[in-house]
Amino acid sequence: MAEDRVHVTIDGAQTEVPKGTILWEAAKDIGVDIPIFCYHSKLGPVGVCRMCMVQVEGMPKLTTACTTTVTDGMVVHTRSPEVEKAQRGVLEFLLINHPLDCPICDRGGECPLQDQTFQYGPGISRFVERKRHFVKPVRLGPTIDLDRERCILCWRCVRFTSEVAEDNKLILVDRGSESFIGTFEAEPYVSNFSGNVIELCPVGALTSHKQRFTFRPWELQQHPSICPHCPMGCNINIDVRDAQEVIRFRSRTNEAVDDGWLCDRGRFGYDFIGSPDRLKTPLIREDGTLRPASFSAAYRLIAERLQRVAAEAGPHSIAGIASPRLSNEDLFVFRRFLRDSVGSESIDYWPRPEYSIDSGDSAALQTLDSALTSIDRIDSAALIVLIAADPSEKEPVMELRIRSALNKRSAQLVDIGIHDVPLSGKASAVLRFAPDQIDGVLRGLFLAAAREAGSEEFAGARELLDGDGPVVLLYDDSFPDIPQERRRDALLSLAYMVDNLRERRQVGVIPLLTTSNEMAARDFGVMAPNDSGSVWGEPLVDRLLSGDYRAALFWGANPVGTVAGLTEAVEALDFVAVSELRLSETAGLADVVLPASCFAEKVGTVTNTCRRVQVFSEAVPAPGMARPDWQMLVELSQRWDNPLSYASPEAILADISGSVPGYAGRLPTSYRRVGPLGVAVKGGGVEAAE
Amino acid sequence: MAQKTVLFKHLEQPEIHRLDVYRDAGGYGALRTAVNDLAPAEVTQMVKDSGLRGRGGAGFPTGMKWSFLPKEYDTSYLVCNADESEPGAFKDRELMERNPHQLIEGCLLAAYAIRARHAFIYVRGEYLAIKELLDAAIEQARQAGLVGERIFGKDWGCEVSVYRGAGAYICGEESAMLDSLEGFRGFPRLRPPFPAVRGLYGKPTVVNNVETLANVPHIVANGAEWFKSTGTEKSPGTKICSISGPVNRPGNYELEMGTPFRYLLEDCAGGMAGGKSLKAYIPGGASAPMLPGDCQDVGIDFESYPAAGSTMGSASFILFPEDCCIVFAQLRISEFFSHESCGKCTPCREGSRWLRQMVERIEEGGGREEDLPILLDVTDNMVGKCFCALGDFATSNIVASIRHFRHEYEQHIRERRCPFRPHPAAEPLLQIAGVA
Ligand SMILES: Cc1cc2nc3c(=O)[nH]c(=O)nc-3n(C[C@H](O)[C@H](O)[C@H](O)COP(=O)(O)O)c2cc1C
Ligand code: SF4
Ligand code: SF4
Ligand code: FES
Repeated sequence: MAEDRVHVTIDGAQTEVPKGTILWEAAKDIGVDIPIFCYHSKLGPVGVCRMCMVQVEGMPKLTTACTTTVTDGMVVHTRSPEVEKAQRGVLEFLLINHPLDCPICDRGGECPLQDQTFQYGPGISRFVERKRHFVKPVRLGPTIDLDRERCILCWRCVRFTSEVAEDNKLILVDRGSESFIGTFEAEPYVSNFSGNVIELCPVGALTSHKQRFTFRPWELQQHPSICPHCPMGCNINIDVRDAQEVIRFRSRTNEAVDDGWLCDRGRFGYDFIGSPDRLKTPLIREDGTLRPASFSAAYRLIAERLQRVAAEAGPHSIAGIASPRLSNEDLFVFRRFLRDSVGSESIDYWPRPEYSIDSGDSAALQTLDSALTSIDRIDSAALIVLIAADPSEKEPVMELRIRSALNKRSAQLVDIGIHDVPLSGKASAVLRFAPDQIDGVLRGLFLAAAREAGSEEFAGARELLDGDGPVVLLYDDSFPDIPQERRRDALLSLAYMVDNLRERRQVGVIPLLTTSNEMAARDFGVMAPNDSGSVWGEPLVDRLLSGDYRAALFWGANPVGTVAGLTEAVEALDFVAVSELRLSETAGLADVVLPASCFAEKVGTVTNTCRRVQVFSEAVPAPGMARPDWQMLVELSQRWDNPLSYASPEAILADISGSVPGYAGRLPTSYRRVGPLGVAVKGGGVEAAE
Repeated sequence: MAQKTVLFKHLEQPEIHRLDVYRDAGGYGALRTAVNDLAPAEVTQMVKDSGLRGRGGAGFPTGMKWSFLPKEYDTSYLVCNADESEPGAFKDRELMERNPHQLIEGCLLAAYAIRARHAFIYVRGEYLAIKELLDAAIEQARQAGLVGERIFGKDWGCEVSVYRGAGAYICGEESAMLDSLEGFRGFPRLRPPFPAVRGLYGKPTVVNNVETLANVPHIVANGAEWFKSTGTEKSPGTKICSISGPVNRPGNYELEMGTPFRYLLEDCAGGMAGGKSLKAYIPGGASAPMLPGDCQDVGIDFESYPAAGSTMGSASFILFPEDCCIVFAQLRISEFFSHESCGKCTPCREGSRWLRQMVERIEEGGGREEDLPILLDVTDNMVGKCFCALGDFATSNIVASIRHFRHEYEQHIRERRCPFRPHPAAEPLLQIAGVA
C-alpha cells in the first residue's frame, strides 16, 4: 500500500482511498449511499444536519461521515440499527416544523428531503405541538424568493455566499429553533451568482422568483446544452415542458469548465428563446416595407442581387459580417459560402476588438495562441495574473474558479489594470496605471532599468512574477479601458510578457473574449484579414463606413445602432440581407431578412474561450419556419455555380475536424464522440483557415 | 473534610481587591517566581503534577491541556472563560468581583506557561460592572509593571483584555467563545482541529475557566504537593460551590473536594428554609441531572457525582423543596435550553423545542400517556448526536426527572392539571432562566 493511501471497510466492503478522504466520499466511491443534507462536495464540511451519522468501530458515539476523514483500518457501518434509528430521528426532527406543503412546492418530485424521508424516514410523525411559523415567502432579492418554513437550516446557501462567491450575502439570523436565513439588515440579495443557491438548497426554501409555482419537476425533459451568454461555455441542462416551452436552465457540472456553477446572466437568460417577437418567416422589402415571403422567393432575390453586384463591382464588394454567437457549423458554412460560393474574402465578425495588427505582428499572436491553456489549469497555478481584465464582467464563472484556486490552493493573484474589479480585493499585488501607459508598464516589469525605478506597487507585482511555479495570465484583448490607438501596443506587450515569463516558468494564457463563440470565429477565419492575409485586420464594420462595399450580409450580427454612422452607410448599400432571431436594428434596414433558429432549437457545437469544443442539443422546435443558419446558407448556395452540399450539421463537424488547423486530428467527427463534456482542441488556429 | 479558604481570601481580607493589599498578602509573588526562575514548561509541569482539573464543568486536567499545544508556534493565546451562563452558577462572579488580581495573576501565569503574549477574559454580557472592575485592576497592574511589555523586566510580556459577550449561553462553549471573541456570532466549531492547535485567530489557544486559573498562583506559590494535600486523590484542591433555592443562607462556599453535599446544605447554607424538606436537587447547574433529595451523602468531586447518576459540573447546586412541582421545574429548564440552543444542528435545534413543547403541554394539563415514552425517545435521538454538548445538556434533566419523579408526570396526565398550582417559585426562576 502506498504511503499516502489508507484502507477502510464500509459495510463489509474494503476500499483504498487517498489519505485525507472524507468518509462520505469514500463510501460514495464504492456505491454506499449515506444520506446527507448539509454536505456538498463543493462546499466545506459543517456537520450541522446530522443526517450522515454512521458507526465507526472503536468510537463511543455515532459520527458524521461528512466531517470524518478516513484513517487506516477504519471499519464503518452505515446500516446498523443505531444508525437507522438516528436517521429516523433526524428526519423526524427536520419534519416536525416543516410545512409539508409538498403538493404545491416547486421542489416536490426532485426534493432530497422527500426522497430521504421515503428511504430512511420514520413514516409517521409523533409531533402534535404547534408548528413554528414565519412570514413567507420573503423576496430576498430580484431573483430569489425564500420560504423560511421549508428551510432545514443546512447552511448550504450561507456557505455558498461565504466560501464560493465570497460576498457573504446570506446569513443566519436569530437563534435556536427561531433561526432563519436572511441578509444583513434585510438588504436585497443582489449577486452575479444568486441562482446557484436554488440548486444547492435541498428543499424548496430558495426558489426562483421567475419560475415559482409555474411547473412541476416531473413535467420537464432535460436537454444537455451550453450556456450561450459568454465564451466560458458553462454546461447547462435546458429543462423543457411539453417539448415546447423552456422552463429553466440548470447547471450540468463539467469540472473542466464550470465546476458546477452558473452565473445569473446565464441561468436566467432564456427569455429570448420563446419570445413572441421571434421571426417566423422570411421577409422581403416591397415598397419600403418588409413583408412575409417564402424561402424560395427570399433565396432567389438574394442570389439575383448579389450576383448582379458581383458582376458589376467584383465579388469582394460583397461584405459578410457574422455574429460570434453562431455555432461552429454556422460560422464554418458562412465562411465557405462567402468564399467558395460568392467568391468574396470580405468577411468579419461583430462585435470584435476594434483595432488591427500588421503582418509583422503575427509572431505576437502566435506567442499568445501557443500559450493558450485550459480553465482547469487555474486550479494548479501558483500565480494568476489579470491584465486589464475583469473576469467577473466578461466570464463571471471564471471569477469563482479563480477564488477557489486562491482559497483552496494557496495560489496568488496579481491584478495589473486601470481600475479595481471585484477580484482586486483578493490580489496580493495590485498595479494601477494610466490607460495610455500599458505598453510601458507591461514591458517595464521585465526591463532592468524600469525595474530599478519602479514604485513599490511595481515591486510587489514584479516580485510575484519573479517567483516559481505555473502562471496563468488572463487578459481581455478587446482592451475596453485602453485608448483605441494603444490597443495594438497593449497586445504586443502582452506577448512580450509571455515570452519573458516563459524563460523561467510554465505560462498559460486565457483570453477573456466577449461573445460565446468568438474563438471559433477567429479560428475559422471569420475575421477580416490583415495585409498578410492572417486574420485581425481592420474591422470590416469600419470599412463599411468608408463606402468601399456595395452589398452586405449580416448573419446574426447587429452593429447598426451601436456603431455611429453605420445606418447611413448601410442604407447607401445596393443590397442588404440579414439572418436574425428578431427584427434587429440592422434587420430593419435589410432588403431580405431570414428567420434563424437559435442554439436551443438545433444541434451543434461551440468553441469556448480556451478552445474546448462542446455540443448543444435541440431542446425545443424553432418558431414558425425558422431554420438553422447553416441550413439556410446551404440552401441559398444552390443558386451559385459552387454550391455547398452538407446534408446535416454532423457532416459540417466532420469537415471542420478535417480541415481547421488545431481542430484537425483533435476534434471527433461525430457529436456522440465529442461527448457530453466536450473535447479540447488546441494550438494553431489563429491563421486563416487555410 | 470541610470548608477551607484558598481562593476566597476576601472572606478574611475584604480589601484584597486592592493591588497593594493583594501584593502585601504575597500576590504576584508566584508570577515573579515563574518569570524569574521557571521555564514555561516547568510551570506547566507543576500544574500537571498538582492534578488540577478544569472547574468549567468537564474536569479536564489543566496541565495536560496546556501541553497539547504544538511544539513550535509563533503566536498563542490564553482565553479565560468567564461566561458563567449556566443557571445556578455564580461562583466566577464572586471570584472576579472580590479578588480580581488573583485571576489576573492566574491568567498571566497560564499565558507564561504557553508563551502567550495576549490573554483575553471573556465575561458574560450581564457582567458589565465586573468588566469595568477588571479593566481598572488590569490598568493598576499595568502601572505597576505587571501587565504589558517586559514584565519584571524580562523579555516576556503579556496584555490582558476583557471582552464582554452579548448574552448567549452557547458562547460559554469554548469554540463558540472563540468565534465570539473574533467578532463573529458564536457557533461551536467543528473539531478537530482543537483550540490547542487552531484556536483564536487560528492560533494555538488554551481556554480555562476563571476558577481554574485562580488556582494557578497558589499552585505555583505553594507547590504541587501542597495542592494535592487538599481534596481527594483524583479531585485535588478546593471547589467553590454555589447553592441556591429555599435554603437559609444561599451563596458561594469554598469546600475541600470530596466534602459531602450534606455539609454544604446543613453546615454552610444552614439547611432548608422554613423547615421544608428537600425533594430534589441539581448538583452542577441546569445541565446536570437532578437527584432525589435524599442523596445527600455524595462527595462533591468529579468522581462521586457520576457514580450517583449525575455530574458535579460547575458545582452549582439548585435545590427544589417538597412543594415544588418537578414538571414545572423541568419546564423552566427546558425553556432555558430551547432558548439557548444555537440552532446550528438539527437534533438540538428541533429537539430542544419539541421537548419544551411537550413538557409545557403536560404541565398545562394536556398530557397523554404516550408522551413519556415519546419524551424519552426524543432525548435518545438527541444524546450523542448533536454538534456540541449543549444538545446533551438539554436532555439530561428530562431523563432524570422522569426517572426519579415519573409519578408526578403521571399525576399531571391523570388529573389533566398541575397538582401544585399556584407555583410560588415561578417568578424568580423565570428570571434565572432568562425566559420572558
Ligand atoms: C453549552 C456549554 C456552555 C458552557 N459554559 C461554560 C461557562 O459558562 N463557563 C465555563 O467555564 N465553561 C463553560 N463550558 C465549558 C467550556 O467549553 C470549556 O470546557 C471550559 O471553559 C474549559 O475550562 P476548564 O478546563 O478550565 O474547565 C461550557 C460548555 C458548553 C458545552
Ligand atoms: S434556505 Fe435551503 S440551502 Fe439555505 S439553509 Fe435553508 S434549506 Fe439550506
Ligand atoms: S447541540 Fe447543536 S444546536 Fe445545540 S448548541 Fe450545540 S451546535 Fe448548537
Ligand atoms: S451531511 Fe453530515 S452533518 Fe449534514
